[in-house]
Amino acid sequence: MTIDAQFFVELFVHQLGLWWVIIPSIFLGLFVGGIPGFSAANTIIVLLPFTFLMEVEVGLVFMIALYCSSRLGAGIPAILVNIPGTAGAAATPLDGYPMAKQGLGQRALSISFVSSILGGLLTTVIALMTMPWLARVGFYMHSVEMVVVMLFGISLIASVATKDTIKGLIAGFVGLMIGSIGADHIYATPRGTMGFLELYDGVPLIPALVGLFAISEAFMVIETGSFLSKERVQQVKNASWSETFYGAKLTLKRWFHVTWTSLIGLVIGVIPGAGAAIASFVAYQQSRTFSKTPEAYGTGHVEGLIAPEAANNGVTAGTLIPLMVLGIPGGATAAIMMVVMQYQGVPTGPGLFTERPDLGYGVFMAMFVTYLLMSFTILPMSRYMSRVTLISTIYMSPIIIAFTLVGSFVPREYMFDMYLAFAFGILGYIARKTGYHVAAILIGVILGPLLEQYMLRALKMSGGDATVLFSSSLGNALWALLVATLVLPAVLNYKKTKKG
Amino acid sequence: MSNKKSEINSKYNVAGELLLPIFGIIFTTYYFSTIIDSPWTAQVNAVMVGLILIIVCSIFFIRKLLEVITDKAVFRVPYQKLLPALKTQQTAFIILTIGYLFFVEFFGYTLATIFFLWSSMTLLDNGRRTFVKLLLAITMGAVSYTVFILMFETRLPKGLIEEVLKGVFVK
Repeated sequence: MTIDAQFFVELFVHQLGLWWVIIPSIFLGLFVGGIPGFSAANTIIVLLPFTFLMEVEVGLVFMIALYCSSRLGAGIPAILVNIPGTAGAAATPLDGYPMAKQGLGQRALSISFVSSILGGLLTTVIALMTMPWLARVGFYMHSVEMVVVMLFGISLIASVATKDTIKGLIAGFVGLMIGSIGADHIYATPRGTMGFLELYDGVPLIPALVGLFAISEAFMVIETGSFLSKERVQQVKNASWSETFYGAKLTLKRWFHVTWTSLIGLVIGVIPGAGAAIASFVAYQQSRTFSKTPEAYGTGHVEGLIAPEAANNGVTAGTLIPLMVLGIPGGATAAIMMVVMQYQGVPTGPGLFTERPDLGYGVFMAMFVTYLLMSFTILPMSRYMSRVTLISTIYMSPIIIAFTLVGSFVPREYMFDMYLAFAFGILGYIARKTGYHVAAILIGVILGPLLEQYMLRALKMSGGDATVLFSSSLGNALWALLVATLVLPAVLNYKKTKKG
Repeated sequence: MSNKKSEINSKYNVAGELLLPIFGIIFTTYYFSTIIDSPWTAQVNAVMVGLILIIVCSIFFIRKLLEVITDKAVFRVPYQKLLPALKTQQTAFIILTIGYLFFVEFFGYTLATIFFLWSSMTLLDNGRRTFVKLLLAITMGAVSYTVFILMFETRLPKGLIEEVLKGVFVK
């Protein structure tokens, strides 16, 4: 079989013919992505017996479509009601929710959808063209380099709290301390677990996410009685289709921003164990650093919404590259896909492209077709979805609590996780009431354990020598970039004030 | 006298802002106590993060103390506001949520969810249109039973409703 332009055109037409699988999967993915605790991975596990019964190609297309749309679906409640569906969408409400609070929910959804779709399409094409080279990124990113990547994400702590940096730092470091709970990575010594066996594996992310965002938000909105003020309610009611088009136009005008933030997602996605959460935090932080209007971030800034959405959809193509090219799954969903492929007798790794190129390239083509079909199916829905903000908090608050508490139960099926989510809810509520940013706490909880894991691995391999953190050329280049991104805005700001 | 009182009341109170840093320091101290005899691999990260947190909190406390000393802010626990605050719908809703967590284990997920949704919606709407809310709660309970228990086979706590419906849906 020759791999030429005709091959890809035929593949595209063939995948388009599977629309009857892709479209229902898109809607299922939107639904599961929107409920915290439910994800593409656990939905695919539930539906695994069905995928075994399907033809291997159809099964893979179903999983791909579900995977892509659940990423996009996680951003919808993040924008409308400040509840990210997954950790990968945790940076989305930073600018998405303020936009919805201004009565611009429809526009925000449109921006989120278009940047996700564009980011997804672009990274899929790049992945198709550069797979063999991109797959090697994982080999160069060792523990030392990953420490710096984590620090890129953690440095966002200072950025999210623009009003009061010291309060941002307190919230972030409290999050990092909470993230340190659990057995240590080398000798499994329990630390800070308060005697709870359920915390030996560390603090589970979903209860933290549910508590800090959903439960605390449900308690907060009771005070106002509505998500929106009276004027904003009228604004949402009067919004026409032009809002969707305007949101799309705003995103298309920023095509370069979509491109480079989705590329951050693609590269981070290739690294096994990294993920959408890191990608979206790093993309948001970088977007803010290089923005001409960094002060507008956190207030409903278009670029602040584009960055995490484009990045977390860039991750989807990235996580599949190590699986397809090397046979190493880059994430939970990719690991389940590997199980299905092995069950059906399909090789993974280099053999896939020689023995079944139609499947190897077909997976990425299915992703491309999914994103293409999403633009016709999901984008028009933004107008109706934005009406969620009109529902009274009398109904919304109890429903949010009941559904998200189940979400916190689902990943491990421990009642303890529901109590933990409630405890995080109280912590989040106090933090909000006293002017601390819950996103900063969450960044600490998510990235803290990862930072520790990579740092310990690097230190352990060097016999405890801290200079190992500056021992690799790539690592040093990343350190220089990190210092530059931290110092540059301050220098530019100083110059600006001096000129002014 | 009353002028002085209203001046104090209008000043910004730092008490609430101190809650999170105090929690941070207490938790860090507890955390340190659990790693005293641990190998260095278990200590290195927490010591780094914990010490930075303590330093940042100390700077914050000093800043707040200076604000109070220079009369820019006040530190006081508003006792007179505590009791009215506890009597709000919000507090009742939080108590209902705690109750829901306990009831889920005893009465099963579906029944507890229906009761929680109905009672909290009624509470937040000051007891208006109770029957409509009951219907809504039952509908939501049925939807969540279908999605979470039937479709996703989640092992949520089982109770009366789940046992009865098991006979209908599970052969």
